[in-house]
Amino acid sequence: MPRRHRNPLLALVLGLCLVAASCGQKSGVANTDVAAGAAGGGAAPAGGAPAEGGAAAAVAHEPGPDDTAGVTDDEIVIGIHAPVTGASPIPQTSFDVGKDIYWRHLADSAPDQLFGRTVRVVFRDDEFNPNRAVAVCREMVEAEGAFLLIGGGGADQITACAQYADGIGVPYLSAGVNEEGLADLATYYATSLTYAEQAPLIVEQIQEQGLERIGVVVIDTPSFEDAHTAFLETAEEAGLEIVVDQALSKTAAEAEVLAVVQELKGADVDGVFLLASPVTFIGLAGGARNQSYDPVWIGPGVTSGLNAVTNFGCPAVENGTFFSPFPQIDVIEELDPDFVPAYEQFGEGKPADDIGLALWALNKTLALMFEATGEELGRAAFMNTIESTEAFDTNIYPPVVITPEDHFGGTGAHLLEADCDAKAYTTAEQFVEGGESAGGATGGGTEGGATEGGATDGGATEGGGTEGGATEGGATDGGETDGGETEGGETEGGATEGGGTEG
Amino acid sequence: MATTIDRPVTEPEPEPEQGRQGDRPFRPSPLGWLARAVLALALAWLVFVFPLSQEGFEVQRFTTAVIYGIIGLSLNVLLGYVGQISLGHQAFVGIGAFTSAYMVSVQNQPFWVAVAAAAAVGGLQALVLGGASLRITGLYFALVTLSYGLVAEQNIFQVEELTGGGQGQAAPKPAGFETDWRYYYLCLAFLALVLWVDWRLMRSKGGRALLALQENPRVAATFGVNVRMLTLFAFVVSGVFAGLGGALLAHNDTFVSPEVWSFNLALVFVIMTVVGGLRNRAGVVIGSAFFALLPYLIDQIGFIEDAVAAIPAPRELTAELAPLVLGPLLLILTLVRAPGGIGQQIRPIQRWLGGHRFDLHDHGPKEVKVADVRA
Amino acid sequence: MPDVLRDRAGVALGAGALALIAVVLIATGEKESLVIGVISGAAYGLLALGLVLIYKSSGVFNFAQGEFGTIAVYVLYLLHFEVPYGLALLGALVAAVVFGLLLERLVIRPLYDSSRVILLVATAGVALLAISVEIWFGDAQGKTIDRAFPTLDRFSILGVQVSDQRLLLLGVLATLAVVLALFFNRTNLGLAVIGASQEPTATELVGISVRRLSTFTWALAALLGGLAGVIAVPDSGGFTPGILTSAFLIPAFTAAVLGGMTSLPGAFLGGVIVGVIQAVATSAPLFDFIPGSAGTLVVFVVLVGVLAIRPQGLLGRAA
Repeated sequence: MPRRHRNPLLALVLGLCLVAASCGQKSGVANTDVAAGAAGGGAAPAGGAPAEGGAAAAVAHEPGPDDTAGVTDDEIVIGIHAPVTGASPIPQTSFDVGKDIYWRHLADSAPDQLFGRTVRVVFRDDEFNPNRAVAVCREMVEAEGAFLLIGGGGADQITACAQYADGIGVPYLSAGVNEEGLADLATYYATSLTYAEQAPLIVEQIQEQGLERIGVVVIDTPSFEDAHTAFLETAEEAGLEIVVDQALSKTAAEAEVLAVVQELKGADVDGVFLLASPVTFIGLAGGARNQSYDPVWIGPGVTSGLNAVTNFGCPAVENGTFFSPFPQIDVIEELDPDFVPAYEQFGEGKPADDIGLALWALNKTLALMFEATGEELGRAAFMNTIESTEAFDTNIYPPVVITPEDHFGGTGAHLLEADCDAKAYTTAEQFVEGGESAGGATGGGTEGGATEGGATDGGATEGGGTEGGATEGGATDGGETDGGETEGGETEGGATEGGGTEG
Repeated sequence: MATTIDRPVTEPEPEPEQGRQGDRPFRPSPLGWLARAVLALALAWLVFVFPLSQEGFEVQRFTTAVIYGIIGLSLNVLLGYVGQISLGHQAFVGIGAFTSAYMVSVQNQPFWVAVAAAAAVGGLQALVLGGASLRITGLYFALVTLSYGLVAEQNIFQVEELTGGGQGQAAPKPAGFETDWRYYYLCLAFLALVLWVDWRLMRSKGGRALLALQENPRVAATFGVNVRMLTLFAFVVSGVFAGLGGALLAHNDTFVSPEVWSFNLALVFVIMTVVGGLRNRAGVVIGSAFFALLPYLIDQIGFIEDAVAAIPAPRELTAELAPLVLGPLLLILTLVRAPGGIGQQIRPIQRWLGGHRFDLHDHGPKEVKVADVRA
Repeated sequence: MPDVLRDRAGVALGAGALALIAVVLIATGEKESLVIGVISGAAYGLLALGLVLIYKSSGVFNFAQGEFGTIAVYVLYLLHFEVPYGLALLGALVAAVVFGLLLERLVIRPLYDSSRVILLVATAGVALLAISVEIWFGDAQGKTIDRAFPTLDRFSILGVQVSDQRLLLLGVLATLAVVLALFFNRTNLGLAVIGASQEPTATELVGISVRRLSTFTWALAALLGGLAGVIAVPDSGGFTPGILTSAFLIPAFTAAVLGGMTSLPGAFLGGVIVGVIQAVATSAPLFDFIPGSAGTLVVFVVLVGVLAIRPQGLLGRAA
């Protein structure tokens, strides 16, 4: 039945639309001004547009009008986003429980820390979707008043949200992922080695394990290009033989995964450099196991080294070997004896897990940064401080060294190996040093900072019990507490063997 | 030939309401007019003023709702007027979004040029697909659009030059509309434009012929309706609307990434259009806006949140997940209980507003049919 | 017997096409892709069987077919901790059938007089609902599940190891394709189902309940979907909510269309061909220029090509 009749209401609405479209703009103006003042940070986000050039990163941060948003006399608000649903999710309960255990522990054990402030952590699910990530980041800044933002995992989401944060001058921290799209941002800081920076570590590990025929499988996304190139170049310099270099779609069908497995198997690959989400990794490892083919899977990664992967992927992922910014839970007792008791106290009955550990380490780094900034905490002061402080050492993360030129602050990583008997990753080596990638995607001028850091850190870890952490702790004034607590646990001297990085 | 006996459609039928009015003209009392004016003003307040009281990122959601209205209207042209279902509409919209972002960020073109380009590209791809639909009809066409959507997601949107890679392409808001509030009104104006175009087209000879086509293509063809041309035309219109919607979405989010355009989104588009009520502009716009705002509504309106939280389940139904559970439920309820959708349900109010008597049981035409396709 | 003749022509065409592909693949050193294609295409084929069944009997494109399988997988996963694997399997299949019956009773039957497009939308809605409920009640995390037959390395074909479970899948698929085809052509019940879809009124007039037939076919389709899930998923790494919809449904539809949409053996053949196409598109250097997943694009091209050139598919009947 054709609905051809004229609807008077529609005409009315249409008319109103046209009138108000013009009037509305005016009222919009007025409202904007008010809201920008009130809400803070509401004005015109520049969005994903990369900053004009690398030079921006070196400019000292000027205090802006909303510089202290998210900080009051007794509270600091920080916002974390990570995927707990979507294509490659991380267990949600771990995030819900683990996001603020460090802060609760701190408030309980050292209430005077952070100049009497407590920290409120807001967590949002980004659904493994960059647009969603930006939306939740914006919500956390505008509605929750987050002082800074943290990306929990997922390279594309981190990049998108970091670009948004850069546009509005909000500090953004994450574990190291890609460099492409992040290198030019003034407010982005990586707290661990980027994928590209991990290339030398991986190459070295491959040589150490005596792997000879190397395959490369990289998810077909431009975000991984820099890491891919860096690995190929480093491997070539080291004389590794790369026999397969295959891209795989993020949503590959089983036939596609099996085709890649067959190619690896056909070429007698014994070590696979893998740059993929955990879901893809498990699919590949499962496909390989079906063919009774068990190469070593090695790669950089924040999420591939999580126990969620061994829970889900064992026994197929038995040969998984990944570098991670944080160690696994098996060595935490010696690195930070506070962690497990704090979880028992505040964990609402949930067992301490590696996601909780990652969050703990990140929050601990943040605490050092807040302490170093001092009582007058603002975004500009915060960023200037972390860029000028020599190093932040939590004894969980390798020391974080950030300079005005180099925001990729990682200096090392931990090596994790899957143990399918325990359905968990174990920490095979702690505090493996890292330097710049051969690709040098970050450009010149960065080596200085990173190498220095590397040297300090090398001394620290090799020294064992009395480590450089204390030195660094001195530099960052609040550090003593944490440094002191952790020094008791001795790091394995042998862990940092090789060290054959550019630095 | 049984079909012609079934329902001879030679001319669009005279409108029933005119017949009723003819018998006994009804004019509301002054008080009645006042009541209508109050309701109209309240609605206008809801659309034009209320979003201003919200925070910036909330306004962004309202803008999304307005743009979903445009997308719903786009799908309505295919589903409601042509009777072809598109299960790849997220690709239509996504290509518009990337085109606009690409024009602005890579080609350095102004917003208006970019939006026009997005609309044009949207129309063009719809033309190609429309061409295919002439040969591949009905359910098979649904399958082609579904598969096309997947190709867009996994192949087209993987072209780095176009999409800026996994991190997405920047799409800044246009000069003069940088704030969320101004952009909201800009999108409202675009929605008004789309509504107007849709209305004009459907009143044109071609539009009426399209509707006749719905009833019976063969009979319509024998009365000189050029089925092919009209179908193609409708596809282009739908594609232009979709491209426009995509461009507006991109600039609303200030960037666009490939992850967004999944099959789930295509389903959401279909659901919101059908729940809104096919061939009913107001219904489609309300339905679309409703689905765009559902997370917000669950979040904001206390008793809904409480009710949702009270559902016994091993895990809490979060505000993000709730639309995914409630949406399909609403869809099925709509299809089974009230195939006319929201459009049909609000018809008494609509007619009352237009100066008619309030008749709770006036749901207009009994059933809103989609051309039955037996592929 | 023109129908049978056409079928034979179709079988010859399909087999010929497959043989040609096989020869080319073996000649170009892509013989592994052939085996990979067949073993991963078997899952598409089994899902396609259910799609064809529903289409044959009620003219509906059932977008919830994949979720029959996913629901079964989730139930299997939950049950296999509690009861022996065989019982868990049984429970999973029962759950799939119950889901199918509920869908038929609550959604399909009230919409009996609606257009096929509306029914398509309705089943798509049901699929989305099922996926959301899986996310909600379980969680979004991936899970793995043990195989019924754990031996992996008993058989090796052209250098590709084929697990026992996969052989089972192939066997079940081939058997069902033939048995169901015979069922529809030779038995009274099968003929009644076809009759009900073509001439519902006449079917009622001769005293057959169209409703009961509808209930029966949906239950059967749900059983097929459940089987596809519980056999294919444990052998392919792991599962997440909506796994059979997101990863299997579109290739399965393509397989069904390729096979002719009304032909059960055609679904089997179509599934295998789609699997081979995906495997070849990934490994053959010819397709390296395609951004993203080459398999997706090639499958799309094949789908459009088949529909444009031979809409009745390989084994279907010309409209």
